[in-house]
Amino acid sequence: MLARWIDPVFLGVVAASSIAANLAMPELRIYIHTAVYLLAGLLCVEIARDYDHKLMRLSWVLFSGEAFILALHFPLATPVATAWLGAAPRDHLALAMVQLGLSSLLAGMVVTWWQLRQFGLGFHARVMDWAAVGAILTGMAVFFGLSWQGGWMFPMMAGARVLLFLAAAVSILLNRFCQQMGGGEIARVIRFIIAYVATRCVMNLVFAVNKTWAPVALELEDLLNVVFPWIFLFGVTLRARVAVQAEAELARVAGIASSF
Amino acid sequence: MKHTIDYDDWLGYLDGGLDQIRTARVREHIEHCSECRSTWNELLEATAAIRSAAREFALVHAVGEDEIRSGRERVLARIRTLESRSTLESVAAGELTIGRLRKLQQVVAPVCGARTAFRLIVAAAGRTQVPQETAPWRIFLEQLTDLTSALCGRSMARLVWEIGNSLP
Repeated sequence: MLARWIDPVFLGVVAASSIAANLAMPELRIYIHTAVYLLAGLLCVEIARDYDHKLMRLSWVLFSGEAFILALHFPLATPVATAWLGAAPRDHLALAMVQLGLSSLLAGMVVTWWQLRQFGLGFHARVMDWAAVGAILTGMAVFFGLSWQGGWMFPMMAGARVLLFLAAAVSILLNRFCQQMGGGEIARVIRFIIAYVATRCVMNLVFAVNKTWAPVALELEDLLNVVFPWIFLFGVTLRARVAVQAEAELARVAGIASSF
Repeated sequence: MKHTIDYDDWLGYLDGGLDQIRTARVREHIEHCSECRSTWNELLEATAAIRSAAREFALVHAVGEDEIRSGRERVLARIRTLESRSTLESVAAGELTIGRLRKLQQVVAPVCGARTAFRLIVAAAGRTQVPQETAPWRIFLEQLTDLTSALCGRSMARLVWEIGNSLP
């Protein structure tokens, strides 16, 4: 198991170093992001294999889809890809991949939400959550208003943003379930995915503000751009570590049982 | 000599249940027939022996009111003891089960959250339908493992199963 070799503390140190290096040398971003998403995708596959339950397995397969698609997306920004594909087709392909990845992420979140509801463990959304979902959809309308005012929104970009806002709406419902869980690793993992979506949403809003009015928050946009893949990787690593820790505990219990 | 007494006449004469004519006829025959007189004497001795034995049996096994009362109290006391023992046993069994459930909750809670762990146990208990003469803990554990597997994955479910089975 890959997760056995990844210690979250060590991962934190690597992430901090990478972010610092990335900010100093932006050209590293492509390679670091590719590696991060590749690792996250492999871990998602491991997690999916840990589930016998079909829908829960599907949700992690969908999350792995987001990771692998983005792992393929970042190399498109290399000079080699540009020279091979041409600038315009490369951008078109890159946007299509982002859209596909976000579809996969959104589907994974919806499946998780649906399945948690179906378990019959008392997870339910409140009126306030639906109000927050409404607020996010309103925010989406504002965002698109800004985009059109700025005149920089392409139809494919719009599609990706719609998916991102919808993922944010599902995040509200999932966050409620996390509260109702009363803590635990699964809730923490879901919150990492929520944070990942939220970071990407904020990143897009900052991007919209910078594009529409003035580049007032370029550094923030840059920082969010560097950080967001790591949030996803951290969440996935925590979930994969649950299985590793359970197996270690299982071995310990089996060892105690056999010693009697 | 011709015997004019049949089997029913003998029994009737012995019990005193024959009518006067037949009683007189049997008595007259016994007086004149030595063989039947001998039979009659044997019957009288046997009857006396049986009655004596019955009296002895009744004396030996006679149960007085006091003895009946004390016997009844002994039986009731025994029933009460058994009831209290079964109550104690059920309380002890309940405490044992609660201890096991707490242990399982402690195993699941760090992964699923404290409230979810509790709800998982409640849901598993709700799904547990125990047929006669089967171990309810095992069926409950199967249900809990199933639910844990769906929510937390196979590794956690295996851990729950192993720990659940290893609990005293």
